[in-house]
Amino acid sequence: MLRYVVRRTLESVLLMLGVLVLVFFMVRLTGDPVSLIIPMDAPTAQREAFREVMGLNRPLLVQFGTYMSGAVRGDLGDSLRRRGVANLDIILERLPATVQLALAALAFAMVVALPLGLFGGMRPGSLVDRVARGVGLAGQTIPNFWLGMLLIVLFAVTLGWLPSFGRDGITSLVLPAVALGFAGMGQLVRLTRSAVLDVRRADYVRTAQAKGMRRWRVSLRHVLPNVAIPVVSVLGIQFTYLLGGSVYIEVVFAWPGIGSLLESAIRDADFPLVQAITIFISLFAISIHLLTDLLYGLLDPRLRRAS
Amino acid sequence: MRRDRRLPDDVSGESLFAPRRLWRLLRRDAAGMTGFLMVVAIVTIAAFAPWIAPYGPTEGEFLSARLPPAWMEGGSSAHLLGTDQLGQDVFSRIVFGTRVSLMVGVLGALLAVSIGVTLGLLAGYFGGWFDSLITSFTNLLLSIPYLVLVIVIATVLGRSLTNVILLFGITGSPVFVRVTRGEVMRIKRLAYVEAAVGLGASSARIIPLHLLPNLVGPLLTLATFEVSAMIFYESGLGFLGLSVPPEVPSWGNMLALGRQFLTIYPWLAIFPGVAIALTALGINLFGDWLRDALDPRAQERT
Repeated sequence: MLRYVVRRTLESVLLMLGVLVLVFFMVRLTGDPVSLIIPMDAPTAQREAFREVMGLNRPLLVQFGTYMSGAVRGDLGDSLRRRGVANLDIILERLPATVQLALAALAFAMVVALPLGLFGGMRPGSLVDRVARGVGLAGQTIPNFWLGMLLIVLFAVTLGWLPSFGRDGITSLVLPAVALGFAGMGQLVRLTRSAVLDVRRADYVRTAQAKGMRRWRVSLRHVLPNVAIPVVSVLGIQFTYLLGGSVYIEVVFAWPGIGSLLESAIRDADFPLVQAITIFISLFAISIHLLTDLLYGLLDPRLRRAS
Repeated sequence: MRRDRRLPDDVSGESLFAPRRLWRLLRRDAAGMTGFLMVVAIVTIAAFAPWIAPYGPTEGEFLSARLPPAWMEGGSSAHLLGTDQLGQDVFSRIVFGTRVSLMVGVLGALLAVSIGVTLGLLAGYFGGWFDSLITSFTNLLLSIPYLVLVIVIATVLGRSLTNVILLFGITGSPVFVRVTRGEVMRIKRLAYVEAAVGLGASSARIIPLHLLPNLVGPLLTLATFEVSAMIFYESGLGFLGLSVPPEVPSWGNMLALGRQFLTIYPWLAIFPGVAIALTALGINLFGDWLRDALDPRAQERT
């Protein structure tokens, strides 16, 4: 187990370093950042002055060195629009809102998806199963930001039950969390259902049924623990999707998180901040992945013993 | 799930891809057939857009701006789904938007498949340092949350149809690298490939003759879902104002506009989303069927 932990941790650190390198060159090789920020018709002197201030006139390798040595010490540069404020501080200020939204979305997805997938899978072809399959398909076919707008039109504008934007108490969390969690809910239903379909024919489930155990007890005692393994393994991936998807949802609901920060940084052409956000979200996602993988190792005895 | 104990179709010696076999399977599968008909309808709409749409995509009159759908109060039968703030016909723009979405989805997926299969084949077949390089790069790209990656690259590239297709083609390829590489590594250890190697066949013969045909099934299925995913992501980029130029009638651009007027003219946001959802539904239903139809092992199950 220890070897597994060490190996996965080292892999993750390497990936993180790789992301730092990739983002640096992605932002620089695909275009001149100056032309994104300074209007094309600005005087050359002004453009050069900007290059000087940003350090963009130095050799690429020197820039890369400064950037990397800063990044590994947790310095992701300063914002362009908010002069002298560290990007990392701006991001950390917004982090709680995004994490809150993502966790709420994940909770919504799991609360709906797990029972549906579990009971649907136990009785293929039943009404519950058909609902489960419908939900699974809907998650794949309805864009989350569109769903968000529909929810606003229905629950905020027409019915007036819930606020349509902002972050103010628990009621403001409901609509964005549902919209963000919807796609993940679909994926979880499909995954749980197919995992149940695989497990329910296993000998130990048939034995439990044969000795007259009630259906719901079989589901909870014998099926659920074994279904948990594949489900937990995708939760990490789910969370990554949620972080990406939250860009749209935060924009729709004016939710003050990292997603809407990214959108406004793009609109303001605050390229150091865009770069910092990309790095932050990627490193965050890699860490979450690592954590779920380690959790997976704890849950699956086979993996524990193998290493 | 039916307990249908018919013989696997392979018994007849029919190829997995024989049109007659596929058609027979499709007719038996209501969901697959629905998906297939929807896809056919969408392609037809895209191909004949100028004849189906009553107005041009950028044709608008201020006098008929902000009309609600025809069945609502104040709606006009001349504009079935209403008009936007420039008086452009929503229905016509959705019809023309089909072209943009399909173009991005299909061309993006084709590019992703070409890049992914080439790299995956070489990496899986030859192994060594090239394999390590490709695998680490693929893992790296896949470790950045996809939507964030796409948003950042789109920002740097700027708004044009070619850029959007390139963007999805490149960022979509790691998945195909992974699948191709995995399949190749599995297949190349099978007895019939080893026999060919033993007989002295060259790589130039083994790859196209023994490896590629086995890849077609899984890759075709994956590519089908990828088309739907790319249509999804393109609309998301358009929604953020990062996809094709604003005057181009794309579903994402229409949704971006719809968001601005959400509380006053909600129909501007509702109908383009319906188009996206129906397209994704059609492709997904078809893809689910295709996956089972092209998987020899799935035949006995469903």
